[in-house]
Parts: sequence; structure tokens; C-alpha cells
Amino acid sequence: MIVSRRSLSRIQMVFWLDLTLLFLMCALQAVNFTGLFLHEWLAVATVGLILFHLLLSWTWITASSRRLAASNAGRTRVNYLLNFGLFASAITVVFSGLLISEVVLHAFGIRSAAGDPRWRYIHNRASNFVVLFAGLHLAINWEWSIAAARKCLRIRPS
Amino acid sequence: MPQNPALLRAIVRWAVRISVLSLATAIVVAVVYLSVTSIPALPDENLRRGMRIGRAYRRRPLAPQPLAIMEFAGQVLLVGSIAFGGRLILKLRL
Repeated sequence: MIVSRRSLSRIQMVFWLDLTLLFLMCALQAVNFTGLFLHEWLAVATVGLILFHLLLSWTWITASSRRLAASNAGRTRVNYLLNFGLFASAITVVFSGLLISEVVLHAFGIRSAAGDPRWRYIHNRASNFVVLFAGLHLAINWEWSIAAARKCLRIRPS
Repeated sequence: MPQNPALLRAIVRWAVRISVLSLATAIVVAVVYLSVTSIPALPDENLRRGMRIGRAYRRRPLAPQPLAIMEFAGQVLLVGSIAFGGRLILKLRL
């Protein structure tokens, strides 16, 4: 009973964290919705949440890394590639966003590369990839998401 | 220094995880930085003018709320549609 309660609270934590990340990502894509000030500070907060999400998924990461070389691991390889794409594009968005930042870096008195069109181009393109990979990430983990939503929101299966 | 060996193991485990994650992040950042800085910045006047307009646009007071909410809802719909499409592909095993 203690174990199941523990696993339920872990599921709840991961579910609410993932849902927050999903809505934060959508809000970050709509700069008009947040405004530039909130856009930049929310992005900084999102970095911490992404790292926490990855640390909570560590068991999957290590197990999949070991399975990559196996002959019957086609789905694992695709999933791994998608997740790595999401990670790389998210890091690229945050890094290029920091470089062209007009609020966060200025708050620390650091001059940004806001005038460099290359970083703005990379930031916009990488953010498109984040949306694409996040959608596919959700598609692959659909069953888990539905099961977790049912548990967390106490919805009975129909 | 913690005396409990289980606690020590847990600390080491989390430290290793955080280090691996930091290393992966640093590698991605280095690859992106080196790739982008190796491209010469073109003195494109149209692009620079567009950026000036874009900056002024972003600094203006927030858009009328219904439009901004619709933009956010559009993003949620977009991610949902990609997830639904991906789910369909997985189900049909294309």
C-alpha cells in the first residue's frame, strides 16, 4: 500500500510537471500572450523544469541507451531519436534565446547579441522544431498520459 | 559528510545524473555555437529593418487580450494536432 501510494504520488508529480511544461511551451510560442518580459523569464524557469523532467525520466534514458544496439529495438530507436531531437532543439531555443535576450541578460548588465540576425533565425527555426518534437513526444507517450490523467483527475475509464 | 551509506549512494547517483545532463547540454550548446558562428553574418539591410520593426512590435503594449488568448489556444491546438497525427501514424503502423 505504501509502495502504491508512493508510485501514485510520483505519477502525480510527473503528470503535473509534464502538463505545466506543455502549457508553458505553448505560452512561450505565443509572445503576444505573455509579452517579452514574461516570455524571457518563463523560458528561464522552463529550463529548470526540463532538467527536472529529464532527471525524473533517468531510468528510461539509461534503459533505452542500453537497448539501442539491440536488433529488435526499432521503436526504442525512433523514440530515442525523437526525444534527443526534442532535447537538442529545446537547448538550442533556450541558448539562442538567451543570446538575443532583451530582458534577462540586460537585468544582469550583460550585452546580448540581439542585433545578430543569425541567432534570431536559429531561435525561430528551433522553436518550430520544439513544437513538432513535443507533439510527437506526446503521441508516443499517449497511453501513459491518458492513464496518468485518469489517475490524477480521478476519471473512471469508460 | 553523510554517515548513511544509502544516502551517500543516492547523492553520488544524482550527482552523476546531473553531470551527464550538463555534459550533454554543453555538447549541444557547443555544436550550435560553433555551427552558427562559422556562418558569416550577411549585411542584409532588409533583414535588419525587419528586426527593428519586430523589436518595436514586441515592445509595444500587449495585444488585445482575445487575440493573444487565441494565439495561445492556436499553439495548444497545433501541438494537439501533431500529437493526434503522430498517434494515428503509430496506430496505422505507417
